[in-house]
Parts: sequence; structure tokens; C-alpha cells
Amino acid sequence: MNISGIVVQAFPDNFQAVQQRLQTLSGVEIHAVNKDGSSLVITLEDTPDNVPSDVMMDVQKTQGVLAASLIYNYCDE
Amino acid sequence: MKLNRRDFIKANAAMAAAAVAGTQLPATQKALAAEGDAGIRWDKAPCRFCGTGCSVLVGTKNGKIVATQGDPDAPVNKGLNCIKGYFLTKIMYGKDRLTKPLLRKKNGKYDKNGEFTPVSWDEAFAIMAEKFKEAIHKNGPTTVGMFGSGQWQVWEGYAAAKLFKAGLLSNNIDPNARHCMASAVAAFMRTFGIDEPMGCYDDLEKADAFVLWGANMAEMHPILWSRLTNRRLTANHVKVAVLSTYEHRCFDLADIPMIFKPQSDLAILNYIANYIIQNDKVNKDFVDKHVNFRIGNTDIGYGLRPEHPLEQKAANAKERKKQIGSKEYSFEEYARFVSEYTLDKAHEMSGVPRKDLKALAELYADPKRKVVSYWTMGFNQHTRGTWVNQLCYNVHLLTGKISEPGNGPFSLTGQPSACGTAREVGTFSHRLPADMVVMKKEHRDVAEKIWKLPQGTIPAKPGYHAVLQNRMLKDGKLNAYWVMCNNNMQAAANMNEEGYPGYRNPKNFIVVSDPYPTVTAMAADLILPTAMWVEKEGAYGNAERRTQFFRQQVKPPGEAKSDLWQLVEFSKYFTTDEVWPKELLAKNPKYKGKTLYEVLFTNGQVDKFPLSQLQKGHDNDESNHFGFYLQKGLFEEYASFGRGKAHDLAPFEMYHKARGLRWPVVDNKETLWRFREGYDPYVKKGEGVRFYGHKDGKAVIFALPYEPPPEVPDKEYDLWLCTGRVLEHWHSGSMTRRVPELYRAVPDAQVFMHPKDAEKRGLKRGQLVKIASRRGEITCPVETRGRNKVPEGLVFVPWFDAGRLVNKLTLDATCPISKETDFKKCAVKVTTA
Repeated sequence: MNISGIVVQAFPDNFQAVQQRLQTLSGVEIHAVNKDGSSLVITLEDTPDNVPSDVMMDVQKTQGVLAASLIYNYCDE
Repeated sequence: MKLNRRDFIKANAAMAAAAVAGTQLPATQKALAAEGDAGIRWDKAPCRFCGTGCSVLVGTKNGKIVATQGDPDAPVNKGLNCIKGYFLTKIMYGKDRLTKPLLRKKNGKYDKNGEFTPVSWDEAFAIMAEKFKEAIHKNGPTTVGMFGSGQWQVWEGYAAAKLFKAGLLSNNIDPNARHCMASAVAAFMRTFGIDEPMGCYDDLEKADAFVLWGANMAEMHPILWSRLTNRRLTANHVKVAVLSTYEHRCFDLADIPMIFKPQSDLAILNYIANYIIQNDKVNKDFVDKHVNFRIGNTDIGYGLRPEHPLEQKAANAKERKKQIGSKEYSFEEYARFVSEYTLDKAHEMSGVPRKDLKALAELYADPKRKVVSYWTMGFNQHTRGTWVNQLCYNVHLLTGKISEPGNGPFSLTGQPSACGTAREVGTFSHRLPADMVVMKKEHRDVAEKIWKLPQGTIPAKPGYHAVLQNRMLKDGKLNAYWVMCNNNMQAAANMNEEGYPGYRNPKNFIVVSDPYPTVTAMAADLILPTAMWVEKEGAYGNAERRTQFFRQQVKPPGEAKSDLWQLVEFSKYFTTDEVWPKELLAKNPKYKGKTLYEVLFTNGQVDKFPLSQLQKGHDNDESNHFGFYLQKGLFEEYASFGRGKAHDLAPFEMYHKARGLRWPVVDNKETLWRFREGYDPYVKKGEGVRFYGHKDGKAVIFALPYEPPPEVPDKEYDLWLCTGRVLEHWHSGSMTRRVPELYRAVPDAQVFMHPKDAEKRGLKRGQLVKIASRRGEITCPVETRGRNKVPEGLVFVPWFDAGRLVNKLTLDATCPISKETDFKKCAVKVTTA
């Protein structure tokens, strides 16, 4: 089991597009958006067909994402 | 059951993230998270990787680290971590962790060409001590040395410096921080007379403009970048200027993005100074009261071997005095000096559009705008690294934008304790704790007195610095050598011609302490297995002068021992009679017949604190082995160097409670902005600002010109090569490459190349190519579309990949003042493999 909580920052004008892009990534779930619309809360978990660190990098590299910060990670066998 | 557990950990992850983002989650999820993490013990520790100094909550279960969380109470990261934090739980559990000392042996005996064979710690230290003594007896103490680290714990660096400088009587100890921020140190000392930044990270929320000079913060200091991003997104007037020799992720946020030609940063900074003067934006009151002017010597060479034609040709390269020399100067002379750096000239030299240069200069010149400048290796790894640091200070000093909230130059560091250990402890070949140096008798006197050692113990001559150590190994003048907590075979420039021949020189005995079989370890004769990060009690000092402690959370594997244990235990294998000169002992007979362990570590100070003071519920393997609270004794002895001298550290126990404190800590209060009345206790009432590092309380603006780099692209080697890090891997990758998943994410180094440059050479994206310099060649695939977008004429290769050693290509030229290597500029050619 490998689960992370991540905060993603983006320019407010890019926000919708960024959310849509993130939703296509395997294991990613969007939980909340902060009120000024500059950051969102996602979790990333391992699934049978993903490698979490790959997806974490995909989050970072997602077009429109300015910064993605890991807040919480749990990992056991 | 399994599904429930997953749901509730996920709820915890989302909750933690939501709290940091300042938002709410649905009540059902909150309830789920409230069930808590059963069986996990949480405790704080600073992150193991970069110099930001994020605090991490480390979750331990059944003696293993299973979880991490950004520490919500930490002022540095406010609950955030970067992607590298994700790997913290995993770096200690790589499959090839070293668990036993390994000695090269043939037929049961040490042999330089033998196979690595497991031996006991006693056998390892016995042969090591034999080789050290043999070298000292043959040709004196300058034949032994050590290469240490900005990743050492504070007390590890302190114990190492003491063992070498005061025990083995050799100043040949230098940290890998030499490759990292020696230029920053030299510039701080020249301009301010005291090391380390005056400001702190609080500036990230207070500045109106940020200027990045050769720092890819988005990838190398992601948490600071996230704070900077937040400031930019929440305050409309804030501007971000990014300067680099290629486009990287920071450019996404840049209002003024600028790609400049390598080395032309010197010209751009002088242009900004000229712009400020021409437009009458000098803060005259500040300059009159707080600034002196000097002109530095020029044509100072490139730190290459003395026989190199460039060193022969340079007017001021031969003597140290001439390299660092300077003369008094006036403001008027300085104004004339920079007047040649016009907008046109800066544009022509840098290739940056005029409008961008002007906009940049205006950020600094506008008295209403608070500006912070950030830099890392772009400035420091530079053959004029000391100068370029100083030129940035010039701009801040001319405008008085310094030492106050939101205003200031800030040198970022790359290692967790480059400041706390390498700089503050003074593990450089010329330094002692608290900014003192071995060359000055009064400084040696202070150190000898605190260490309760006879006068004349510490040698007066600076030892071999990092680059010189490799040259001396190759030349057979440095013969017994201990490398600890770094991967210098992979890091140091020009490995083919200097590093490798030095380690494998039959005259030399090389010891490497590391948790993993790195490139450096494999080039050694003896490998010592090391306990890492929270396998020991530790202390780091980050880039904003913040000292942070952590406790041992887990046991190291097998027989692995911390660097601290290794250093102190090794000292038992020497007596003063074996390694001190007869005259010194004759004058001080009470030291005769003692072991170095007794003289250095059971001196009534280091062994002062009993085991009863250890924290219950946590291991402390070193203290339990030696029988006293070793870390506390070392720290308190070390802290006595700086207290009352503007380097004050708090009492030991305070750091175990606080999320770090920024020195000077006076009356239990930390200092956020140095040199400024009201913030810095060393500035008296009514003084306003005082740069007290210099006796007259003034900082110095140095007039320094543009000078060209030692190697530039020509017809044959027609491209610039720049090296550096990437987000996913830290430094040489010796830890992050142990994480199988991460290895997958960025398996091998690539060469980043402009599509037109690739096309001109008939190369396709993904194709294997040969990159060659005058010193060596490597093979790797081409990337023309990656997130690093290089301009035509320049390629970028990261240095994390042990299978593609980019340091076979790089040139071992340094800033002649700081002795720091320029890893950012040399000439290469790229052809089909």
C-alpha cells in the first residue's frame, strides 16, 4: 500500500484545465479546492496498473502545474 | 479490513493536505481520519536532502520508517514536502545497503589490487591506523587527509575537524561543500567579514520582486519555490525575474524570463549597478554610512594546475595574496568603473533583450520595490564565483536593499548542513569554528584553549582543498585518505585525469565511509558501512542559519555505524607519542602516552554529560557505546566557540524542542535579519545598520570586471556543457537511485539539446550519442523536448547517473579565490555514438 496526499498549485486561470488533466492520471483523486482557487488537494494511491512515483512526476509535469508538494506519504508492503 | 485501512490512510493523507492548503474536507472523511494511525510513532526530523531544511514528521512502526508527513508546525515548510520527501521512507532500505567493513584482500592480506572482503571493525581500523601512521612517519602529517561533507551532522563535522586539525595535526580536511558554496563563503567574508545570509525565508512572503540568478528553485528547492509561487499568485504587484543559461521550470512563473550567455552574469550585474548610478537611484545615505569601496585585483587565473598555460599567462595567479588582493577605491571611481557596462554592452555580451535587462535593473533601482535575489550553483560554480556573488551584493548595497524584511541577497545551499556543519563548524582546510582561520595565531590560540591542548598544536598552514586533494593523491603527496559522507569520485571534475588515478595510485590507501557501494566506495581500498539519517541522533543547519536537531528513530542495519562513531572510535587507535612531534610533547609532558581519544574526546568537556540525560524511548547508539552523551558534549564544546561572538547557539536541549532556531540565538531568541537594529541583538540602539563583521561596521562594494571563462566552445568542441541536478534525484543519486520506483521514473541521464543542434548533427530524439570533451567522453540518449529547454549552442547533462559519469568531461578549473569548481561551463562536441 502506497498513499500520498499532495497539494497542487496553478495559476487560477488554468485551474479547470489542470483539474481535468489531473483526473486522467491513474490513482489520482481530487478532494478539495481552496477558496482563492490557487491550490487543490489530491490523493495518489497505488493501483494494479500504476507506479506511484511515476504518477507523482506526471503530476509535477502536468501542463499548468506550477508546484506540487507532498504532504503525507504512507508506504508498507 | 484491508479496504478499511486503505480508506482511512487515504483520509489521513487528504486531511493533512487539506490542512496545508487551508481548505475543508467533507465531514465523513474527517471522521475517518480521526481514527488515527494505529501503532505509528511520530517524531520530527529535518529532511535528509537539500539545504532548505524542511521538517518532516517521521512515522516509525516495528523498527522501520513507514510514513512521512510535512511538519505542520515547521516555519520552513509549513506542512509541505517536495517529491524527494516521498523517498525519505525508502532511502535507508535499498537492497545493496552496506552492512560490514570491506577490505581489498588477496591471500588473506590487504592488497590494493585484491577483492573486497568482509572484515571486523577492529581489523578495518587497525589497517587504517597502520597506513595513517606509516604515511605520517614517512613524510609528515600533510600526507594524511579527509574529504567530508555538508551532509555531516554538526557534531560529526566537528569531531572530524578536531581529529584531523588537533589530533593528527593535518589541515588537509575539506568538505564537498567546497564544490557547492565555497564561493558564497569567500564573498560573504570579503564583503561583510562574516559568513552566511543576513536575511531568512520570511522574506518569501514580504518581497515585491524575486530575482533568480542561476538557481532552478522549482526543481532544487521546491518548497521555497512553492512559497514564492504562493506570494506571486496572491499579490498581483509581485514580479519574478529568472536568469539562467537555459530554460527550466522556474520560467513558467517568470514575468521577466532571461536566457543569458555563460559567464555574462558578471556583465549584467555591473550593468545594473551602472543603471542605478546613472538614474540617480543610489541610496546615498545608506552608502555613506555603511559602505566602503575597493577595487579587486584582476587576471587571477583559473585555479588549474600551476603549469597550465592559462595560469602561467595570468598576472595575479601565482600568489594567494595577489589573487585576493584589493585596493581602496572611491564611489566616484567605482561609478566610472561600471560606466562601461552600458545597456548595449550588457545586451551584446549576454544576448538578453534590452527591454528585459532594463526591466530587471528597474526592479532593483525602484526604491519602492523590495527585492530578494536568490542564487545557487549558477553563481557559486563559476571561475569568477566569488566575484559574481560580490557583484550581487554591490547592487543590494548601492540601493540599501538589504538586512530588512523583504529585501536582501540570499545564497541558497544544496546540502542539509552545508551551513550548519561545513561552514559554521569550519571543516574547510583553512577554517576553524565560528569563522576563524588556521592562518591567524590568535584564532589558533582560541581553539587550542577551548580544546585544552598545548599552544602550537594546530598547524598554521591551510591544508589541501578539495580539488588540490585529488591532485595531491595523483602526485603521491597525500597517501592516507578518508572520504566520508559524499560521492566525490562521481562529483569532482576531471575524474579521468585527476580523481581516479589519485585513488588508484599504488602509494595511497583510500578509505570510504558510505551506506551504499557508490562509485567512490568502489574506487577505495577499504569501505566502512555507515548509519544514515535517523539511524542516529543528528543536527543540521540550513541556508537561513537555522539549526535543527533530531533523535535516533531506528537501528542501522548489520554492523553499519554512524560517521560520528567511526571518527571517535578511530581516535582510540593513535597515541600522541605516535603522531605528535617530540618537541610538542617535551614541552607538554602531561599529554604523553595518551590516546587521541583521551586527548580529544574524554577531556572533561565532551564526556561531561551522563547517559541519564538521554531521551527515554529513543536509542542513541553512539552515546551508549562510549558511555556518555557524546552528541551533547561535542555540541556544547563547539558552541562555546561562537557564543558572545555573533555566532551564538542556544543550549543543546532547546533544539530538541524547537523546530530549529536561527543563530545568533541570544537570551533564547533567534535572529531573523542580521545587521539591523531591532532584529539583531549585536546592533546597538541608535546604530540602525551595522555590518559588524568588519571592524568599522561597514560592508565593502568591490569593483570587479567581466573576465572570460577558461574554456569556450571552438570549431572542434563547439558546444557549452552545463551540468546540474534534476528534481527526482538528489546530487549523485547514491540515495535516490536506491529507490526502485524512482529509478524507473528517471532511469538514466540524458543530454538535453536544442532541436536545431540535434538536426544539424543528424541526431534524433532518444538516439544514443557520444559527448566528448578534451578530457573524456560518455554516451547517453538525446532529449530535445524535456522540461529543460536549452538554447542553441549549449547542452545540459545531469550528474546523478553513476553509469554515465559526466565528470569525465568537466574541467577542474575553479574560482581562484574560493577554489570552487565551475561545473557549469566547458566545451564539448556531440556526435553519433
